Amino acid sequence: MEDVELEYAWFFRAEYPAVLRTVFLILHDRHRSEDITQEAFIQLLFHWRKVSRYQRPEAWVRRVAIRLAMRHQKRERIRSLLERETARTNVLEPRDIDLARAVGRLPRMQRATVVLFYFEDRPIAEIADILEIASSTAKVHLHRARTRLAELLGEEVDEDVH
Amino acid sequence: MSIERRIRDGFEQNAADLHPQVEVMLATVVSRTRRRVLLHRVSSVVAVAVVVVAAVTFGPRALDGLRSLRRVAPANSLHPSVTIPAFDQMAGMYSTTVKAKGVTAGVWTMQLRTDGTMVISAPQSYPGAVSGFQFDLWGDRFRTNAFIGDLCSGLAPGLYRWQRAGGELMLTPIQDDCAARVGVFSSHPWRQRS
Repeated sequence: MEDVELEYAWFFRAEYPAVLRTVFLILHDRHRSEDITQEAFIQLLFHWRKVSRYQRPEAWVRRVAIRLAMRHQKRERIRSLLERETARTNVLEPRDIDLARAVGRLPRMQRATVVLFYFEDRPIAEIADILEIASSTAKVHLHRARTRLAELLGEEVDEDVH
Repeated sequence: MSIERRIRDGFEQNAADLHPQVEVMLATVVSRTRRRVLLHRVSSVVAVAVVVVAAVTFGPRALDGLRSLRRVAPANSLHPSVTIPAFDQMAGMYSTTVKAKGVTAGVWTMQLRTDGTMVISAPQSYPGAVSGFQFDLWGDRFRTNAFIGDLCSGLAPGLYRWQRAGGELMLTPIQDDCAARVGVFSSHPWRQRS
């Protein structure tokens, strides 16, 4: 296990902060984001012997983290509908609070797409792969997300982008 | 400002304050994974143990159940008007007379019991063992290991087709390499005595 852990530790140090930030931008809840990112990396270590042989293990752990985040969002939405509870604790106040709120109003697939595209600079094909959807669907999510964010933030939409 | 620029800058700013303690997180992840691996192994061992215990506890009962399912009357009887007994109804005392000369010549009685054991009473001239035999029934098949200790030593149990009609039990050999057993069981019908 020691050699495996050394190799894994190197990977962890390189990827953990980026994955955490991506999850945080989707959820806007630091503690939840840390829990979910940890869980993704636990699953990665559990399957490390197999996943480390993949061409891009970082895509694997990112996919797991984003899926967990989206699942969490779904649960939270149901819970908030049931409890009518909006008070949130352990929330890191973002600098661009308007953007954070606007992103928070997007459906979860659009939220994940827009974070992967604008924050991680992932190409559409890779976003589609991570979210397990077609590239054309990913494009639609991105387009709708951008249009909605422009409406909410009062900004202009560049029509020449994807 | 374009929406593109606004989103990119906003994400950068909002993620900038997030500085995870990577080494602490790494230690936590490794520790939690070890616990999970241990739990996984323990669960696997427990699951295997449960399967083994269940097999030992319930296996024989399940086999008995399967066996009893097989103890049914023959589907294509040659005597449809005759009530064909199931395994329990086969039980009883039967007798036959072997007329051919030899050690098996004479009157034989056979008691078939519901538990699958059979008690044989041989002619006085017969020198072999006559106890500890068993039989089995499924469909119209009758199988027995009679005489396995001497006359049929080293041979497989004999397989017969059985029919009952008019108070007689007829056993027709299907597969039996023991000629003496074939002679006793199938040379003449067995008449039911009780």
